[in-house]
Amino acid sequence: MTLSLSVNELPAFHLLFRDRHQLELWKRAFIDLDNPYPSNRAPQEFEHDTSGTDEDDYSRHTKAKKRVSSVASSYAGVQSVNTAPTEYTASVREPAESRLPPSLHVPLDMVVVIPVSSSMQGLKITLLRDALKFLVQSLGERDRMGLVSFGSSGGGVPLVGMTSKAWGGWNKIFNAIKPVGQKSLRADVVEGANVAMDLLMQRKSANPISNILLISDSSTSDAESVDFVVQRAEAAK
Amino acid sequence: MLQSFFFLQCTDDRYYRVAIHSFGLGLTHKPDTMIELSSRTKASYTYVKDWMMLRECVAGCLGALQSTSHQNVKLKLKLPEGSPAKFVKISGALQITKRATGRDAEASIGDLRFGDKRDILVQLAIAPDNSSQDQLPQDPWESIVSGLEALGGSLESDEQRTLSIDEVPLLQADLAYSDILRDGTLTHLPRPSLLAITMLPANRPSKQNIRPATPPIPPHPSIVQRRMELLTSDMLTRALTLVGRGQHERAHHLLQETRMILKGLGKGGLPPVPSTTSQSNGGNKPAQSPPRNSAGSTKNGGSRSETPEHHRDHSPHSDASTIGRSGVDTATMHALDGDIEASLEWINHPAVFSRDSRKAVLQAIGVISSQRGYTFRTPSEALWADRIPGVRKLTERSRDWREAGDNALTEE
Repeated sequence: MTLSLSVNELPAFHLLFRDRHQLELWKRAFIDLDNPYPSNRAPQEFEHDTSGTDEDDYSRHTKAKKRVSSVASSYAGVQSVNTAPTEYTASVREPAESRLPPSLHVPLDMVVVIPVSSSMQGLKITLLRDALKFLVQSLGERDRMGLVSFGSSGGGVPLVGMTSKAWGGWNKIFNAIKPVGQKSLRADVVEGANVAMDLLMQRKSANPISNILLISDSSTSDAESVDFVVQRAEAAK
Repeated sequence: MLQSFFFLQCTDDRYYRVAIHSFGLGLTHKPDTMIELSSRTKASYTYVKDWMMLRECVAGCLGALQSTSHQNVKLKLKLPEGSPAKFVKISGALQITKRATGRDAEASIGDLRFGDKRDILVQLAIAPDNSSQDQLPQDPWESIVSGLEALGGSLESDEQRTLSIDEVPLLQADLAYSDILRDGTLTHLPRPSLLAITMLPANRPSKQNIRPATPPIPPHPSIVQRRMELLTSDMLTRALTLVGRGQHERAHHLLQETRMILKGLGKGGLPPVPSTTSQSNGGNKPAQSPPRNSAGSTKNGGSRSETPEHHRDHSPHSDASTIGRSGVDTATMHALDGDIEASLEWINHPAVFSRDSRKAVLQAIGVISSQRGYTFRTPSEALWADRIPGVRKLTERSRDWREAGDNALTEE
């Protein structure tokens, strides 16, 4: 639900709800504000719910929320506390069931390391592709994802550098993922992790949170190179 | 050129750590290298036995990452000047380091997510008060007064004693973390928190009046609960070691015993949990040595530094309905018991165990000891995954995705 406020410092204000019931409850409360005899109940609810029934991620956001109520009351002056957010009715929009609410979080960079060894034939690779599609879909606007494969004859291969979900080429890349490694080849997840570290080190700009997701079905791995990768992970800027 | 660039990077106090989360897919993978990569970067290993669960597993992980509130969190413990305490044991963190001086210690917690709560147990030994008296020069006036007090009878000396109670600082705890909203700058809490206790003066031998012995204070339920968690993960680790040496029967026995002890602890009847009922029974109270005390330091990462103090002591499931007699959350107990039970199932079948159960146990150890879960597959994972709204949200989304995903599968 989005409230448009007449307060200059805070033109819009988003509320996220855990379920529809909560949303309805709030919507009704706001519409109740519209009636000519506002009760003092509403602002109390406002304060009360700050404690965490909503699902916002930013504590900053929470602070902003508190500020709204104080700003509102000071602006409203002699009238009523409740009259400040006047334009709410125009924008009490319900998010469509299918549409995903925007996720508010600190942007992250994530490199996914996937096996393309011969063992990934059939259903396994399909499910892997599906998981990757889901991950890209679930990224926030400012999140970025990179992709590295291992288990082919080339060892760790960077497929996509840090790229946001808005990029149109993701599907093409995913459809091109095939198990290409030969049976005899040892697929080493540590090699993949190392190339993922390369991708992260080569970034010109970095999001605050950096992660690698390693997916592997491989039974061989070079335990000796773990130290090297861990050291790089710890020293990353 | 390259060197100077590197130098600049190093002097910059911005600091990001890369966490390597690993997902072992299917029965064929070997988990050990992945677990090492993950645990050493303070991340998690997830066992994806069922390929169909891959999407849900990575979804939970992404949900957790998108809920990150504090990075690289370290609980800094200090015995302040004048503290009569000594660190005996610190447990429950991903990594614990003690300074050589013995007065500082650091417990790494990794990243915190919104909704997170981590419990670090700090066990302190407190020397009785007479040691501090020894340090003070003996005041002759004091000895005259105390001699008179001894003559004067019990009433006055009692009053005198209440006056001479000292408040002693015991333990100082601070939280250091990389602030993700400020380029990972190292940040501390606005102020460290201090645990202080009142110390009654030691009974002087000259006085014959014996204070009525106060019953030992039963440990706080959340301390018992965390102890049970850590006991479970420790014993699972030991059982794996035993299995690795081919001693399956011993491992089986060890886990059976652990289950029994957990059940007893949950009921609050067995040592080392002195509950009021066991006291009325008289009998075998555990000998809790009086100078020893354990303090639970619970860090709440649910909100940024302004966490209200009153949240600290409550277990997240402290509504009366789910609390057992000992005050330990029954859901937690069942989750722990479930993990041990699952590990016992195949422990006497080495081939099956090493192919499957071992990986599940390795994951369970990580989940329980770090209090982090990403899926709702097992009770223990669900217990901790459920705390993070971001994990719940993405898990739900990945289940809704199913329909769309099935279409993609048929297109194949």
